[in-house]
Amino acid sequence: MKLAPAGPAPARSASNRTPFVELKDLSMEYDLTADARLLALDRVACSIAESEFCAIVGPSGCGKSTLLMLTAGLYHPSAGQVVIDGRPVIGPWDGVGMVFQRDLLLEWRTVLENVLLPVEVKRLPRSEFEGRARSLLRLVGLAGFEGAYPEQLSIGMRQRVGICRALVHDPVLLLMDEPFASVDLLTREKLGLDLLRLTAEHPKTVLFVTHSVEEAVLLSDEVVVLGPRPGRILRRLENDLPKPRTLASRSDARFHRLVDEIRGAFQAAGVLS
Amino acid sequence: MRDAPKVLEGPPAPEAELRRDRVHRGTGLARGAGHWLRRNAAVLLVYGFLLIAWEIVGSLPSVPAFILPSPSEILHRVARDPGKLVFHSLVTLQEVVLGFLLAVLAGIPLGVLIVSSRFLERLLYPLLVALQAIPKVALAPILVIWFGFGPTSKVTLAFVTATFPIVINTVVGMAQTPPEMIHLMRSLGASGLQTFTKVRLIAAAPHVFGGFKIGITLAMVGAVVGEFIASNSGLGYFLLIANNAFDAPLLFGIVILLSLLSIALFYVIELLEMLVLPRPLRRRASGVRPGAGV
Ligand SMILES: Nc1ncnc2c1ncn2[C@@H]1O[C@H](COP(=O)(O)OP(=O)(O)OP(=O)(O)O)[C@@H](O)[C@H]1O
Ligand SMILES: [Mg+2]
Repeated sequence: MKLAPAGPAPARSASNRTPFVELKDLSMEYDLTADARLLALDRVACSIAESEFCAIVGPSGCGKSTLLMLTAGLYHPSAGQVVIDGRPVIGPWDGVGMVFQRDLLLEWRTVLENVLLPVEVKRLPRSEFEGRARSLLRLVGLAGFEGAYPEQLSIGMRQRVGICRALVHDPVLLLMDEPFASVDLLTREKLGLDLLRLTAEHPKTVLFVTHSVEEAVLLSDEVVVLGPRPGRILRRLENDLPKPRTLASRSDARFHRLVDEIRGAFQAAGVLS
Repeated sequence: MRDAPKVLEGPPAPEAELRRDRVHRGTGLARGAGHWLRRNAAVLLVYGFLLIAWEIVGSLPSVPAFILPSPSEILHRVARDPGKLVFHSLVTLQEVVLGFLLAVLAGIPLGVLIVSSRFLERLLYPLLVALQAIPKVALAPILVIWFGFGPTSKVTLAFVTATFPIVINTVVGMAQTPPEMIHLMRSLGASGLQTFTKVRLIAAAPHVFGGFKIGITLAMVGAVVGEFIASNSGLGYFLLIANNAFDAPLLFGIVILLSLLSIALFYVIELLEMLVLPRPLRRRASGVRPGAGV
């Protein structure tokens, strides 16, 4: 685990409100050329409670993917730090599951073998985790496809396999970067609700990047709105849309109010219009 | 939308079954042969027709045998003295296979090195391109000076010729893995070696095999050119002998034998590819499927 050694352990109260992921004035500058640098994130500060589903929306290029990379410990911030459960991130750390826009399935592995990739990499006991992999696949409606190859699946099914792979090793944090961007709208909402069922079954803290304001509102407990580059937080909204969420949640008055509010924040920052 | 129903118990949808079926079929040698014949009937017919046409043209009194011997004349000539042909073929084959194996042993690591380091890329790439650009005929005398008339100089020439496509295809193959996949592996705590063996190398394999196929035919060219320049055995040398003796039927026979050997070696690689590559990667060897993640 590449987190700094634990300091004085912060008391974890039973309530969900202790911060689990803390972004402390996180800035990220990329070197473009020898003398040109690009500020992608500018002092982003926020904290996310354990088991909370946090959606991140923002215009293209505002640093959303960068934010996830920093949280996973794959990049080092230029300033500030990411703190997980009281311990600063100093490199890739155990307990992360990632999903990207591309499903990134390995074509030569069966569905089950793809899901078990993290187990293999981490040298966890396969016998213990195979059952878990199968039950995850069942939960997303892929029972019977364990032995199929990715090329035999539709795009939506492939993305679901990718989600099972991100969950199989029981990570504490799920990082998702526009996971449903390449599927059609109908499948997209279905996948989102599948994801909610999964995270209800196996509680996880989720950072979910999306371009879709509606998707953010439908799925999240909290929405972080990032402004145009260099990304900084424009607003944070608690999402009080009642649970469990269904497709019918879209017609709730609160849904529209939240969507409008986020759009308003973008408009005020000059992103829309 | 080929999407599964929400909760699907039991066997996969019939469609998935169907697609799987299409991918592997063919059991039993006899059925396989019959299948092959049926599929290639048109091709065989065309070749047969060309052979007959050649026979007719070659047998015309106005076409002397030293210009275009007919297939039957060639066969007669070859059958008269097969021992020498077999001997020289074995010499050439040995040179080709050895040179090719050396090219594999050197080419893959070179490709991996080039992919893994900018510095090595800048160092090695120009060198490889330069080496490839030199006409092998020009290289042969130098190699003969270094390694003598024997097979070593030919093995070296085959090796030098075959390495380039293997390196290039390894580089292209290694670049197939998208950066996100490498991020994903790192986020799981994978070591560089794990990412290499579990992802990058396998993703590269179809391309590497493509490099092998080009490499083995080029190794043949390299070896024969070497024998042509300076040698006392091998089909290239035998070709020269036949040429000096104005023995056109033998000359044609050797050329045909060379092509047949190349084809055989090519298909040996293809067979190996079928045996080694996991099923979903096989059909892709000849063409990259669009939209496939890795
Ligand atoms: N590896 C890198 N090297 C240099 N610049 C980078 C790198 N990665 C990202 N950037 C730059 O940082 C900025 C933020 O990129 P990032 O990918 O985080 O944006 P994003 O919000 O995820 O955008 P999108 O919604 O289009 O995916 C962009 O301007 C991009 O050009
Ligand atoms: Mg992005």
